[in-house]
Order: sequence, then C-alpha cells, then structure tokens
Amino acid sequence: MKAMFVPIGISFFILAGCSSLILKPADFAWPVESVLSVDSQGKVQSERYSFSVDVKALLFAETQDSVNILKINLRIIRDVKGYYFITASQFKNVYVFEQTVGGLKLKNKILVAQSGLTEPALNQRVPYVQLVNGKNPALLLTEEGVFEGEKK
Amino acid sequence: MKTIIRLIALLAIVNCNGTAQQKSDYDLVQRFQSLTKSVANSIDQTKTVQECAEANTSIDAIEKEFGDEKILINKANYPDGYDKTIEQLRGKLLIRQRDLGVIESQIVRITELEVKISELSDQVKKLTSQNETLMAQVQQLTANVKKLSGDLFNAATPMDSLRSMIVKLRQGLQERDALIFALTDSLFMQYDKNVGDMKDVEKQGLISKIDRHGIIGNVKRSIIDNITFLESTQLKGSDLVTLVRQQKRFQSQWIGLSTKLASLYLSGKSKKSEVAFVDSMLATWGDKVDGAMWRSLNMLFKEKGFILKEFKNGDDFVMTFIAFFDDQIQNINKESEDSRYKLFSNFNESLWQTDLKATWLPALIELQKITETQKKELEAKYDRWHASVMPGASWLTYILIVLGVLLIAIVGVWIFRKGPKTT
Repeated sequence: MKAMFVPIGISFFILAGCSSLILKPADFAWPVESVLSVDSQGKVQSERYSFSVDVKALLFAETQDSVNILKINLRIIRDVKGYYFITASQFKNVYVFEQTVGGLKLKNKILVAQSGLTEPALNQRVPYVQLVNGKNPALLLTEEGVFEGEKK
Repeated sequence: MKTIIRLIALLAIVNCNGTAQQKSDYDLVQRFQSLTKSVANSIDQTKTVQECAEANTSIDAIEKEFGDEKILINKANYPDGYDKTIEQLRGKLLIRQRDLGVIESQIVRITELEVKISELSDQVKKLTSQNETLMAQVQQLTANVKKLSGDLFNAATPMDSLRSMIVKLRQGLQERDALIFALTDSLFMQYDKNVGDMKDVEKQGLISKIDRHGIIGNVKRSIIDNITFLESTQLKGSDLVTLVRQQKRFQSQWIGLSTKLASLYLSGKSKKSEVAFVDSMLATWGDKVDGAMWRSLNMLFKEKGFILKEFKNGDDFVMTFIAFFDDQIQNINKESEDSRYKLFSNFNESLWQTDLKATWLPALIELQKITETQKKELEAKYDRWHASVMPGASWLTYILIVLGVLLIAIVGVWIFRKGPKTT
C-alpha cells in the first residue's frame, strides 16, 4: 500500500507544478496612442511605457524599404486585451501584434486604405481601437479586423 | 448579457461617429499640454495686474475647452492628469499675484473685461468674414443688374434682393465699426487710468493688446470696406445721408481713440505714422462720401427738371439755391402767371415737400453742412416765391365765395317759391 502511495503523491506534485496560472481580468489599454519616431537603427522607443522595439521588418513589409525610415512616425496603441495596433501616414494597413518572448508577433494585418492613410490617428474606444483618417469616416478595429464601417 | 453591453457600447460609438468628424485623442492631449505649458510660462513673466488677469482668463479658456475631456486627459496626461495640472496653474498664478501685490477684486473686474474683449474680438472676426461675403455678393449682383438694365437703381429693374443685401451689408458694416470701438474702450478700461498716468510696463501691455487685437488694422479695414461699399452701391438720397452720418460718427470716435494712441505711441515712429495714415484714410472717406452726397443732391434737382448750377458744398448749395429762388421771384424769363404757377406747384410737390424739406435740409443741418440761418433763408425765399406766383389768390377766392353765396340764395328762393304742397 505504501509502495503505491508514494508514486501517486509524486505525480500529483508534478501535475500541480505544470498547470498554468492565469491572472484575469486585465486591462492593457493605453489611454492615447504614442507617436514614436523611427531612429537610425530602425527602432522606436517609448519613454512613457518603457519599451523599445525594432520595426525594420514592419517597415519593409509595408513599404518594401527598410532604408529610408528616418522620417517615419509610427502611431502605436495597445488595446484592452494587450494587442498592439501600429500604423503610420501613407500606410495601407494597420498591423496588429501580440507580445511574445523578446518581441512582437504579427497577429493580423488589416487593410484600411488602398491608397494609403493621409492623417491617421488611433484612439482608444474600449473594447475597440478607433482609426481616424482625416475627414474619412472613422473605423472601429479589433484584433480580428474592421468591426464597423467599410474598408476603403 | 455581454452581447447587449457590446451592442450598447457600439451604438454609443457609432452615434459619436455620426455627429462630428472624429479627432485624434493624441492631438487633443498634445494641445492641452502645449497650452498649459505656455500659460505656465506666461505666469512666470507677468508683471502687472492686467497680465495676471489675462493668465486667469487663459486658464478659464483651457478649462472651457478641455473640461469635457477631463477623463481622457486625467489618464493620458502623465503624470499630472487634468485636475492637478489646472490646480498647479491656479496655484502658480496665485503665488505670482501675491508676489506682485495684486488684489483679488482687481483681477475679477479685469477678468470680466478680458472675457468681454475676447467675445468682442470674436464678433469682429465673424462680422468681418460675413461682410466680406456680403460685399462680394453685392458686387456680383450689382454687376448683373448693370448688365441687365444698364442703369443702376432704375425702378424697372428687379433689385429687391440687391437692395435687401445692401441694407444688410450696411448694417453689418455699422455693427462692425461699433464693435471695434467697443473693443478698444474695453481695452483701455482694463487699466482704469489715463495713458499719461500709466507705468511703462502697463503701456507696453496695452500696446501689445492693441496690436494683438489688431485695432489699427481693424479701423483701417473698416474705412476701406466703407469706401468700397460706397463705390460699389452708388446709393442715393437718404441712404447716402445715413452713410455720411456713419462717417461722422466714426470720425469722432477715431478722434477720441487717436488722441489716446498718440500718447501711447510717444516713442514709436512707425506706430505714430500709422495713426496719421488712418487720419488721411478717414479724410479720403469723408471726401468721397461728401462728394457722393452732393452729387446725389445735384442729380435730384436734375431728375425733377430743375436746372441749377452745380454745387459741391453747403455754402455753394445755399448760394445756388437762393439764386434759383431769386430768378423765379423776379421772373427773369418773363413767363406767364399760369406757367409760373405750374412750375411752382411742380417744385413744391415733387421736390420741396417730398425731398428737401422732409429729408435733405434737416440732414444737412445735422451734418453741419449748412446752418440753421441758411435753412431759414431758403425757407424765406421759398415763401416769397410762393407769394409771388399767387397774387390773384385773394380776389379769386372772393369770386368763388360770392358765387357760392349766390348759388345758395338761388336754391333757397327756388325752394320757398315752390311752397308747401297743398292737397
């Protein structure tokens, strides 16, 4: 009997240690977007949220150019679930990223303006992220895509 | 339940989308930060009670503009948020006021004036743009009417809309003129003392406010607009008299203001020359409006068929008019009594009673173009002409009376002779 109890006890402790611990609910929403300039190394840095990330791959994906990047101002906002929404002037898409170990991983690429955004801005409208583009109708976005309004 | 909440949230957001163009929250927060920073800097530099009041008004304006976005700014303006930022500005201003020895009641009074100034300034801007649009429309419509009729203000041309537009524009110009002087008065009232008694720093403050609100520029603009209006509309009669009146009022207000400005700009040559330039513009406006008025009066005589020598000022007008009366009284053309009487009646009914006595003579006295004595002189000449063309009036009246009495007598005799009917 004793011989049986010992392996069962060991298995219980091993299983308890492996099960994931989840903290819920969480609110990751930034009140306003951050407008960050790309530096010569292709990085953006936020003092307010204390993070930096290399965006060369994103710029190449959007513009096919990762060299002329200095004048680009990226507009970044984090929604309530923790997804990062990133776009910029002249971008056709809004990129949705999720946090991964040591970086951001693309979750979705939302086509929002075939001819490129002119005056983009991202507003926090929980549970959505609102994309404003000059006088064009605003769009509500989620990590899945456009929630309200039509794609241009 | 979750779906319902999501739907309600979505409806609220969609509703917002429909009502106004969406703005960037980021821009809003940036603007708040930049304005508060600039007010904080200006508080550091305040030296007078007026500057303190101005800073106070600026904080009020920030609260008015951003009060509805308090929740967003509290979250986004890191680390002070909205409330703390405003509180800090008010505190900073209070400390500065104490340092300068400013009394709170002074601030309140000047702040009220500052609010009034800001409102007046906005109204001037609004009216300027409205008048600009109206002026363009009047010019366009005038050109159209001219093309159609070839003769402006011909009664046969359909000009109701043009007339109402002209009236609207004239009112707009008058309102704007009045607002500019009201704005200027409020600026001077803030200092509550004569320019001569002001400290240099107060003078500088007042000069910068006068510059900021573009007082001299606005006065110039008013004169230019009024001249353009005069030249575009080709008004006549009482309309022109109104314009002359407006010019006189403007001139007397400007005289009051220019004296104060001259003492303010004692050292600044360019500013002084600007004041002198306004004087010359005003004189040009006066000449133009006077010229238009006399032309209109000359034209009035001509249109009614009375040929007078052209006159260009009040004395000229009285002299020419008296010469006309004398010619009629002396009957230098040796006309028959009948035609003289007809001419007088025509003059009396179509010109004297309707235009000259009712409108022009009182207006010319009011505008100081002729004197009361000159008016009486003209009226005396009129009476003499009247008497000279009706010498037979008394005997004609007697004949008519005699004829009337005779007629009554004949009718009476005829009735009596018939007597009562007998049955």
